[in-house]
Amino acid sequence: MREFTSVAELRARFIQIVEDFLKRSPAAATRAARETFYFCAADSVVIPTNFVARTLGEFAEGLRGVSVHCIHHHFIEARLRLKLMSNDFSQWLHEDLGLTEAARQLNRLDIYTATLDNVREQIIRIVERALI
Amino acid sequence: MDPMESQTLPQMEPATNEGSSYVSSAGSAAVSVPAAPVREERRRKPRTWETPPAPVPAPHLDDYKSIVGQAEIDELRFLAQGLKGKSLKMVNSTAVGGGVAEMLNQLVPLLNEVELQTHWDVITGGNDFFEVTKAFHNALQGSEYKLTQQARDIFLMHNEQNLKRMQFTEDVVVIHDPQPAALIRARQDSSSRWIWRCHIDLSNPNPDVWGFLRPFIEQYDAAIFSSQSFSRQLSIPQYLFYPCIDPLSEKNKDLDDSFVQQVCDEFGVDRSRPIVTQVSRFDRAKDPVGVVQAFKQARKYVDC
Repeated sequence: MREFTSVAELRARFIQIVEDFLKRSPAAATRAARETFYFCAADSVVIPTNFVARTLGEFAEGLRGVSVHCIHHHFIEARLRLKLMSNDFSQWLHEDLGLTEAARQLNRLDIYTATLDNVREQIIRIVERALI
Repeated sequence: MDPMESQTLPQMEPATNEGSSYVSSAGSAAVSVPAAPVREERRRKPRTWETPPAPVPAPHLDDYKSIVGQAEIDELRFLAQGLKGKSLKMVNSTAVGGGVAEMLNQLVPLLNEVELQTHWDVITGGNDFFEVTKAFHNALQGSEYKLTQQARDIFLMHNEQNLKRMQFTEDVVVIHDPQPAALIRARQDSSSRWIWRCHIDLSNPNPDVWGFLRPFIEQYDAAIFSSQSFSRQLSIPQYLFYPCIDPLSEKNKDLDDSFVQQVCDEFGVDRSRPIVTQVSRFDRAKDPVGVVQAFKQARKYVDC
């Protein structure tokens, strides 16, 4: 999923995978599922927090204090919002602090084999190294 | 969570006992199997409390800080600002006992703390009403049931009596579960919002009972279910509130270790191994067989 920067692209890829599979195995189209899949709609509510960062030190402090929803919003969901192969944290480190290497390291973190709390810890470690 | 619990056991002690009594209740499914003589001992000497412990005061929002973190609490307060001054009424069928009462006992003070003026009303009804709603409850969760005109009349009569007794002046009215569902007839205008909160599994309801209740449900502005698979196709919007655990409720708080040891010793439970336990009324709706199956699955990998 990392290579996608829009939900529309992702949807198209899902459809393509399923259709390719059905071409190879047409009988699978009518196979009854053990459990029904229910498609749900969801809306996000974005709200400000009490944390702001003007320096890298304040940024590290903020990362420790915010909820994991905040990490998800800025680090994971941001790729689709920005339509960039990046995230809000890396963008800020690169554009506003000139810390391009730290921004790149952050962007390379594996978000699929870690929990959000693990991701937060890894981000903090990278930022703390940049602080030294 | 099962709102009907107190109807099954109308003489039960306050809900605060429910959580702590599970370790000795014959109805709970402690899966670590004691030897036969111990089981006989358990039947002869049920553990009871002569004096129920006093109810614990409801927690404040900040009491959850050590569990979820300050940021989560700040988010809740921020979200509540948009609703400041709004009024909300919760209506269910029991004040103590059962999952809904347990939840509302904790939730209503928290809502008021964030300045959402919340009132909680409990409907009243005779034994005939509670018999009918208990039967409805089971039928909606798949049990066989023959719906009679008398049952319909009893249900509607008690809803009507409650409707006349209660006032609905709040901005939002949340009606919990089927028992008070017909209170929607009290709705006077479209300025207030009425929501039906369903805590039970409607995936396979008795068609007669569901057919009787559905016209009431579809008069609400929205319905809330606990799972996609528990919901029904309805003409009104549906929302999902997934089940969650309140770490500060009586049922979930840590027990005193010496007490735990005493009970485990009494029943021959080996505490050195993980214990699979079900804390609930012994009822098909609580899926005790599922717990045993889960235990069997886990047993393949863990010595529990």
